[in-house]
Amino acid sequence: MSDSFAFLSPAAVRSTDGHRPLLRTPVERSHIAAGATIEEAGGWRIARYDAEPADAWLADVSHTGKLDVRGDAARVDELTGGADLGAASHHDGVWTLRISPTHAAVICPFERVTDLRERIGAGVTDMTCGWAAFTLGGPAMREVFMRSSSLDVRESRFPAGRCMTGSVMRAGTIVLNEGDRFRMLVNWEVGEYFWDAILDAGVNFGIAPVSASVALREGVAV
Amino acid sequence: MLGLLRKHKYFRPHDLKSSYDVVIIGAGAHGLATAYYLAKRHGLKRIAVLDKSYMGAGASGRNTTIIRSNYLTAEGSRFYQESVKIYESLSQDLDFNMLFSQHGHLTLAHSDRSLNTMMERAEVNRLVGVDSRVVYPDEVKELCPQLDTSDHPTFPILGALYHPPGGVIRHDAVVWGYGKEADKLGVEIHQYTEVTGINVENGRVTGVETNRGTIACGTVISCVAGWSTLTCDMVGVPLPLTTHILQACVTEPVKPLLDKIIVSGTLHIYISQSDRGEFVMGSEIEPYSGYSPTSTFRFIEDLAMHMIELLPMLGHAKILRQWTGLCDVSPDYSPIMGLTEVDGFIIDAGWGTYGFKASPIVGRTIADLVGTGTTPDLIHPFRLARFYEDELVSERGAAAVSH
Repeated sequence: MSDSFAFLSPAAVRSTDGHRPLLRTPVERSHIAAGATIEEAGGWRIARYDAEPADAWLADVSHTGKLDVRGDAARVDELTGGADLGAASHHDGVWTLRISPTHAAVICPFERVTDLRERIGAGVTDMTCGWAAFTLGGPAMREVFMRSSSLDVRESRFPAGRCMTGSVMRAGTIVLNEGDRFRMLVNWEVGEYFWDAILDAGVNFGIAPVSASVALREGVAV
Repeated sequence: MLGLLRKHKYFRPHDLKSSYDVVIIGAGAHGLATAYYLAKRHGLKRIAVLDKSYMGAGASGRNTTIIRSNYLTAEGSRFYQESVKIYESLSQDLDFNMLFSQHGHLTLAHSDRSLNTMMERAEVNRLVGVDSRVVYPDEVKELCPQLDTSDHPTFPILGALYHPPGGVIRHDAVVWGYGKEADKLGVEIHQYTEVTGINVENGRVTGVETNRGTIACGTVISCVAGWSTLTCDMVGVPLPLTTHILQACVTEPVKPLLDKIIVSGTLHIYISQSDRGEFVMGSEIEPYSGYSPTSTFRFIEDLAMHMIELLPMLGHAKILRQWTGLCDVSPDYSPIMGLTEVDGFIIDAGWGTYGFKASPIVGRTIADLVGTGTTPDLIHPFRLARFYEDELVSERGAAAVSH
């Protein structure tokens, strides 16, 4: 990966006279169908639900910034502070995930994408509109997750501050344990399917969609 | 030496005629069984079975060959029990070795909720004469020592529904056996003959259009599994079905070591060992709908993770091949069989992942419906009209995971 994909970055979108572009998440159609209110914030159209978090809840946080970093092991070591494979750290609103020796991912507020891309330099690709992002939370989140995947997310095997990749609802997924919630990154084009499939898997646990603001509240410190 | 080579041909080639009494679409186990019983039980001779591909190319040759009758509803259990009875003597009836072996079938429970469902199934089963009972980890371990019954797996085994008559059969042999005997009785099997349209006049079927010409007929029976909605669209009969792909795989063959069929609804997996020694494994239907025949690595990934937790020794087995099939799934996980609003158009659809095990009883009952004009009691609960009469037959608790 190189900066040759910079033209794909949604952060490069600029307002011009009389034209103010807005970005949509891949799930907007489902949000509207479910009765959510669409609000504009930070250049995005974001769904607002009135429902309070229940035993299980799901939020669309696709509007967060996402960076994919590839490089040799020494370079990725440098970026992640020499983190072990599967470790994820949280600092100043930015998650850094060590996915493999040569692969890392960064999750950050959208407005920080441009700055972080420049600071990381070579090997970084802005995946903000390449990966959809969802947060699954609530006391029953593990049960809902395990109906959707064979990945082992028991507390003893997948504690807070860990990440892993694998199949969730048959879609390749990066899973991050934020402590009291899981964030899941999947390819943008399967985002709508993924959202519907997780909601379907959680029906027996009373899962309900909630606003992104619920998912982005500070969680358990890791 | 030449004498060792088989000289007898099981199926005779025929010229496609311009009219038949009955046209059956789909030369799988359902279509061929229906043709066979129509000819045998009702003496019909002018029957054509059409298939756009070769015999058994669809779900009949892609299933994982499991036979059982331990369903959740009385309607379902009675129906599949009749099928198991026919299967038990099918090799003799069709003079063809089906390699049917009834090793026993264990449906694992990993939670209190699923254990309760198993108890409910066992009670229903006993009421209708199906042999099944709930067993607990000690007996599970006795029945299948290879299973990890400790509390180490993600979902420890709390019990199981044990169904001794459950077994496996060679699915190709079922297709060939029915085809062979149907052919003897005068049924014409036309492979690579695709139905492109169904002609209807004044609410009644008058014939079918094919890639080899028009055929006049008074009765059309659709036995096309995953393609059912497309066939029924040809006559304007909407079906409450969605089509999903189902994936399965086999490992390299090893010496016999697993004689039970193991199913886990929670883990969405099932496994048996074939006569050749291969482990035949499958999963639930893909969560997305579609007709793609493409196998996926994600399926193998999910399946392997859970399978190795249950049966750790499988970690050494190599996957030999994988494949997909199409499944037409109804809202209540029960089939749709019988008459439609179009006179002369009979449907046999909505078989999800449980169609193969019903092949003989489907053939017999659909043949009886066509032969007598009366819907047999056994399939009355599965009529299409149930979706409009609020009389669903919910088998979700026993059929939502494939076998």
